[in-house]
Amino acid sequence: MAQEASSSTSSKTISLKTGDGEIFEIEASAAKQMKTVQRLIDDLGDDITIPLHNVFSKELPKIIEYYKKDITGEITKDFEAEFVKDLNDDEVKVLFLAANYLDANKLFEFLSQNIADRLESKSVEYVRKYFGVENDFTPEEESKLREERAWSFRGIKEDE
Amino acid sequence: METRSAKRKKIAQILQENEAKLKLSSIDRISDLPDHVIHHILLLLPIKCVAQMSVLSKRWKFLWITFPDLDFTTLNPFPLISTKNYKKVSKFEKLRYPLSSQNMDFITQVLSIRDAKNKDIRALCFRACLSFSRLNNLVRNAIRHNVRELDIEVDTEVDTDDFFNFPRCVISSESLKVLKLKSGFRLPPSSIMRNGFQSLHTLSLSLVILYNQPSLSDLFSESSFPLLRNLHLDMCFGLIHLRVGCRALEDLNLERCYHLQGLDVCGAKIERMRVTSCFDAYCNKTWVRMNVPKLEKLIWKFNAVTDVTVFENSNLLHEASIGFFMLKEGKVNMGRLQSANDFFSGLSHVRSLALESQTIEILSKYNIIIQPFYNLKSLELHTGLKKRNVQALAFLFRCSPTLHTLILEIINDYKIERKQWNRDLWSITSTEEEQYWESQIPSLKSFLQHLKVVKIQGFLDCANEVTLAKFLLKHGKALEEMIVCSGYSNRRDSLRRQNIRSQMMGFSWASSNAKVEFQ
Repeated sequence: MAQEASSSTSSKTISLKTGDGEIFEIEASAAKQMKTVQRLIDDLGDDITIPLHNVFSKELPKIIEYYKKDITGEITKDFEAEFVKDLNDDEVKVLFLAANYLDANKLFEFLSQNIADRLESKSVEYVRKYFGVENDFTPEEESKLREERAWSFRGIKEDE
Repeated sequence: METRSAKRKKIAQILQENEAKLKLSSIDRISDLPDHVIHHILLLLPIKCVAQMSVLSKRWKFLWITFPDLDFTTLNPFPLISTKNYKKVSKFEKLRYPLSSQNMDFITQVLSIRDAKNKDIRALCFRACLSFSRLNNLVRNAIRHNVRELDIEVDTEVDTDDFFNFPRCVISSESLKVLKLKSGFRLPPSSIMRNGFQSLHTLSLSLVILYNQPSLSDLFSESSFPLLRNLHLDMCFGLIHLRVGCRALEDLNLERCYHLQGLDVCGAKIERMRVTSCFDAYCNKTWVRMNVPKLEKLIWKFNAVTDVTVFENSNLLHEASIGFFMLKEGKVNMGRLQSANDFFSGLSHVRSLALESQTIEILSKYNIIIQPFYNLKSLELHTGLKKRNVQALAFLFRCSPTLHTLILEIINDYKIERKQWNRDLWSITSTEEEQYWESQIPSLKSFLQHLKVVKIQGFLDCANEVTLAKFLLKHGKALEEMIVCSGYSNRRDSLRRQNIRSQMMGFSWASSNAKVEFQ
């Protein structure tokens, strides 16, 4: 995505540069919601393009879209449902990581809940892949643990 | 056009490149997130899932044994049945109640594997059938882990009618902030309990056996439980007298204490109070005393009128929902009428009042003199609107000189026919009911000058509500909106509804701004 034109000259916009070199504009009031960005603004000033090494051009537009709605106070359950409807589990994960990095509290809470909802019905193996967890148990250790946790493994559904 | 497999290869390549890129940059893998962030997601999951994830890796096992909230109630979402009834339950239903005593061992096991350094538990919640000694052990175990919140529902697994004793180890806990206990249990003597619960801010006790100490007058005294903000007592069998005076108390909820005869509430900070299904009508010498100057919200329902009421005026009272009742048969009890009057005088500053039908029946049957509610802005009345209730309504309107909103919920008892409104009578202006209302105009002057919104639910075209609606439209000078929700359901009645609608538009209204809406 090419550089987005500044929407209005009346409200201050901040330039954000993603880890893969693209530049996006957000309103200063939206930037306030992202504590990491705000801290960088406080340190570097609001005229400089703020570098965000860990956020990329794929996810930043979505985050900007969320906070655009937030500053007009229009975030409803319907909007949130629509927001995540077409995202797969990995896309949500990437957004969540970005929200955590940006210290964007509202989005972070919302995505935490969404991830929890998505994982609730999944198997342990799916969660392993999802979080990229390496198994450092021996097979004996693992089976012993599973036996200890037998009460929690009762009645699980098949992976979708 | 690319073949699908070529496209897939391309996507895989792009993903791989991205993966590599992600690996190069710093803290962006979920597994590198700090523990509290992962806990954040885990706290939103049922405990079953969190426990399963503990087998993923050593780190995730650690996340489990440091997990703060142990809420096992998600394992059995259905209400508890005791083993007494267990045998009677069908095999199918038994599958829904997994937490019998044998299975409870895992809770002990979960508590025991807590990490030595980080063993504090924030919350422990479960529902189960187990023996008292097991319950006591579990609770003691949790207390040792400095638990802050305990929410337990238990039933005896044994086939007896015996009850638990209260697990006394909770009393001296310094960390416990919330205790919710539901089971059939006996409370220890006040002298033991009173000195404990020093950190407790929420206490909920349900199914308490108090036959051996029917009078709890010094348990909840001013010096007990210094931080207690919320108190909920439910089904306290045998409780006859209760005195509540805890200094920090803000919310008091008493329900289903059927044997209660005397209640004394004295709390400088109490803001919300709810007393339902206490006070039996057949008991003599019942009394209630309330000194709650900061009270904002009161719910008082399904209680018989007590013989004595002392209700110190609560100037900040915002909202009250009142439904006390008296026995219909027998001679009129003058003491109780005075008591009802005293109750109303404690409510005199209320801004929003809802009265249940039993209370309106009392006002309909007897002449009770109430002080006007000068602050009353919203009045909600539940009534069958029988002929005898009309006078009570007029009386209440008289007592509400600056009322803004009137809501009438008509309870339609279809077994008893109310007087139907003959549609020809619309044009006639001097039926008996109409004449009555016309005679009330002088005393309702202020009421009619202030009333802005009227909502009538359950409107059938019976004489009483039609006359009232007509009266308010004709004389309500400030009326802005009247909403009529009919109790009609079938098509024949909808014709009637249309007819009423057109008739109501027919005569002249006092307020030119008024709108009538039929729903």
